[in-house]
Amino acid sequence: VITGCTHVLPNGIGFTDEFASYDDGFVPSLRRLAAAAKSGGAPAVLQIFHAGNKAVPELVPGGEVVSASAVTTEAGPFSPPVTPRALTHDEILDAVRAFGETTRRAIEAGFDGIELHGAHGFLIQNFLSPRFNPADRRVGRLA
Amino acid sequence: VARPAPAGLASLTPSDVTEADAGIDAVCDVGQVVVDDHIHPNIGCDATTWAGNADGTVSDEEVSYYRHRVNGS
Repeated sequence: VITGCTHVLPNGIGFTDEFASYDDGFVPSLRRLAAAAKSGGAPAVLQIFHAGNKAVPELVPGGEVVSASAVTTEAGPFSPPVTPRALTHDEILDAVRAFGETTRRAIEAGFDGIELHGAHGFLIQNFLSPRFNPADRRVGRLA
Repeated sequence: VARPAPAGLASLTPSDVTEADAGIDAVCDVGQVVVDDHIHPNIGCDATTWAGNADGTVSDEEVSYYRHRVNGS
């Protein structure tokens, strides 16, 4: 059983009323979900993500959407067109660490695994995209 | 606009907004949407569902729904 997505950082929320996993305070909440997901006997997997340039501006701290670069997006069904702020080198490392920390929380909560959600144009895909992570903007940064 | 959802999802309501443009195939009776046979509980026509509470914790409705679905009903 794979859950719906949960954001690993406060600025990674992609949908209204999306449940969170970016802090240890959410472990009890995640534990309830893991128990419910496993109650039928199947293993449970927590789907973790960062919405990247598809984060909802009114839901992220300061209304600041971040991505691999400052390339302007087109409007999606759940997000407006935005010109995100490019993550710094240190912030990229923080995001990688956040995925790891949420994985630890998933284990502590009783999940059997995690799924890295890198589809739909979210943050992981932002970095894989030649449009949103153009080669000429990678100098001095992780690609 | 919308295609039928996978077997097991009852009371489907065809999408009449722009979900088709996003690749969303159907909207089911609990506000979930179906994309390429995957159920996405966190998004709906108004991008508002019951997955989480305002403080980011998992909602009671979400927990109840999982218990319902993983036990074959």
